[in-house]
Amino acid sequence: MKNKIECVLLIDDDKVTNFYNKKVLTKHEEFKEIIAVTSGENALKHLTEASKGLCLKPNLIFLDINMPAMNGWEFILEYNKLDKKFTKDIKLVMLTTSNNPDDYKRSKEIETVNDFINKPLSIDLLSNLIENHYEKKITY
Amino acid sequence: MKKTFPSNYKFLILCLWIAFTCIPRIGQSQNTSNEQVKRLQRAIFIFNFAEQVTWQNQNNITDFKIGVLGQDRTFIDLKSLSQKRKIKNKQVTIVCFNSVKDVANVQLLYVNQAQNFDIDYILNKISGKNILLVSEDYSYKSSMINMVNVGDTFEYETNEKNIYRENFTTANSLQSHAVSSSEKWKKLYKTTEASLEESKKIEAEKQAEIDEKEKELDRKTKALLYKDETITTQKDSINSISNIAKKREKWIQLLSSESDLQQQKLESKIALERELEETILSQLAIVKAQEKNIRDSELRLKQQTDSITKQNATIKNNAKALEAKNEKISMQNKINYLLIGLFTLSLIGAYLLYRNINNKKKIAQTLKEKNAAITKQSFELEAKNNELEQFAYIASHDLKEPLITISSLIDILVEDYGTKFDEDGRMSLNFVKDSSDRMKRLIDAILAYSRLGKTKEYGTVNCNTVIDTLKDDLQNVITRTNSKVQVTNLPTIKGAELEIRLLFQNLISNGIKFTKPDIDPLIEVDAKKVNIKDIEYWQFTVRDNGIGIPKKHQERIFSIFQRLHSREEYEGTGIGLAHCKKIVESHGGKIWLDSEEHIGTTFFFTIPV
Repeated sequence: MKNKIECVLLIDDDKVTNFYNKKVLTKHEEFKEIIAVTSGENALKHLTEASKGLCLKPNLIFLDINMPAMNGWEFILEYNKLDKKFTKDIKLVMLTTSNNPDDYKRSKEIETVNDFINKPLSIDLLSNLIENHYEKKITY
Repeated sequence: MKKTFPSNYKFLILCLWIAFTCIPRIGQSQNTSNEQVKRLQRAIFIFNFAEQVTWQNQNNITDFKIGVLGQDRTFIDLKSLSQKRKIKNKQVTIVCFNSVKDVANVQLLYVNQAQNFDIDYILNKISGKNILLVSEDYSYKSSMINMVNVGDTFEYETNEKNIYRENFTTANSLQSHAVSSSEKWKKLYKTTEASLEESKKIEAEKQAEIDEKEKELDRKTKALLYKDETITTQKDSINSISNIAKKREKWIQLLSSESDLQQQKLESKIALERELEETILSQLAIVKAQEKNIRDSELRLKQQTDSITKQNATIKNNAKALEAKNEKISMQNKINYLLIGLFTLSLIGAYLLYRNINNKKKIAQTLKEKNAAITKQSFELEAKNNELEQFAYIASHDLKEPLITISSLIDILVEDYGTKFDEDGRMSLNFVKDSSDRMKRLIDAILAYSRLGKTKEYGTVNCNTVIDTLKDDLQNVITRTNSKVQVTNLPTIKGAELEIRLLFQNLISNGIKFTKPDIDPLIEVDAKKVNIKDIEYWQFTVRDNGIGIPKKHQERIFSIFQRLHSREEYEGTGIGLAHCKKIVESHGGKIWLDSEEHIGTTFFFTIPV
């Protein structure tokens, strides 16, 4: 059961948040590799490179909404333009401070978004996430 | 004066005759148509003839009779003259005979040829009867004395043969004047005058002679007694003759004056008649001219009358036409008045409409402007509101993020390095953690408040179901505090379900929260229909048996972040009742409370049905 998730991509403009999230993820033993980027552009660059096999392809992406330049929603638009074969087995989870129901509703309407969780990230939340999105798979 | 002058007898008779013959002569010379005068002349002629003829038995007769043959007016003329005149000093009687056979016992017979008697027959019949025949207009020398109408007077001629056959003696004058002329009678008149003078002288001489003879007689009286008687008789006869002479003188005078007068009269009459004739002639001429004129004017009149008749006809026609036209005109006038009235009405109507429309336009304009202003304002307001909400949201979101980071990092510190801190260090970390948590809750409350009332889509909300769900949610609290929530049958209302639930949740949890520690909370929820200003409302009541709210604080409990107690006593953000107020008011209702300290508080709120 170790290292179920090979690679996690953290997208958040706040380095401190990235630091904290890395810490929490590291504490949880299911996550092997954690990559953190501070903007949507960087994330897209990483994904393009990964699609070419230049770097590690993430299995899970935590995306913040409120970011400068390219916010979360804008990133999703670009993300959807990527090769579907490449992105189909990547889980995209919104990780945000917002408890605005409008944001939640909006995320539900986007097919690519798999989940919507509020900060702060915690061990319990991660366990719940794995339970919801990965363990079922395993049972199959 | 009565003296006899036998020697003068003949002379006097002559004078008388002249005088008598003068009168008709005057008339004869005058051309007069006066029948009256002519008739008198005729009578006078006849009388004069009688005077100039001597009958053999004239002294034996008492009355001198004149007969008129036939129905002749001369009878009347003679009769009237017989009243005035005597013949041979005898009374004159006029008789009328219708037939020649009847003629008898007359001295003179007058017959007019107009009576159609045969003259020879008359002469035959009267022959030997001692009758003098005076005829008129018979043929020449057929009668004894025949009168002829010459102009306006008479001429006469005598047949001596016939006269003498009847043993008449005639005066010479009768013969001599038988053929007459005006010169003759004038001469005669003058000679008569002269002879009258002469006779007067002779008379005077004879007077003297008589005087002498009287003296002679006186002297011979004694000698001649026989002669005396004779003288006396002669005296008598002279006397009578002188009487007659005097009378005749008077007659002559009278007649002469009469004839003078008549002459004058006749002259003036003639003059007058001439003038009259002239005037009549001129008048006749004038009358003729006038007649002509009258005829002309009559003609003209006729023409004019014709034209007038024509004109009248035309006028009548015109009048008819005029009447018809008048009727038409009056009709048209009426129609015109009607039209004018209609026109005026329509004008007024149009004006009113125009004014109305204008007013409406103006009003609409102002309304439009105001609407625009209002829309603009509402847009601005909406924008501001959105801005504000956005601001509140973003501000709280942005505030929240570092806060979360802080509290998360404190968690890591406490978890990973807690053992490395001493007691004070650990307590400080805990305070930081609590404060950051409280701040997080406050920020969440603000975010929630800013989002309240934004929902416009109202559904049907069954309040019983809402309370049931709530009870389930609050199960832990209710059990822990040993609370009781009593709910009567609540209505189904129109509203936003989440907000209605939050409303009940706040009120019920408040009731549970603010209680004295030793008393079990009892919450009663009730509802009834009320009518405020014709609008039906559901009025809800949430009653608790809590600590109550002092009067002075009742105003401010609905304001945001207002707390009446310390957090240690009763925890909470102090925003719950602010939420309630906002929810009720956004649903069109009102919220108020009735509270008594230490006994409990009753919250009332209304939601429109």
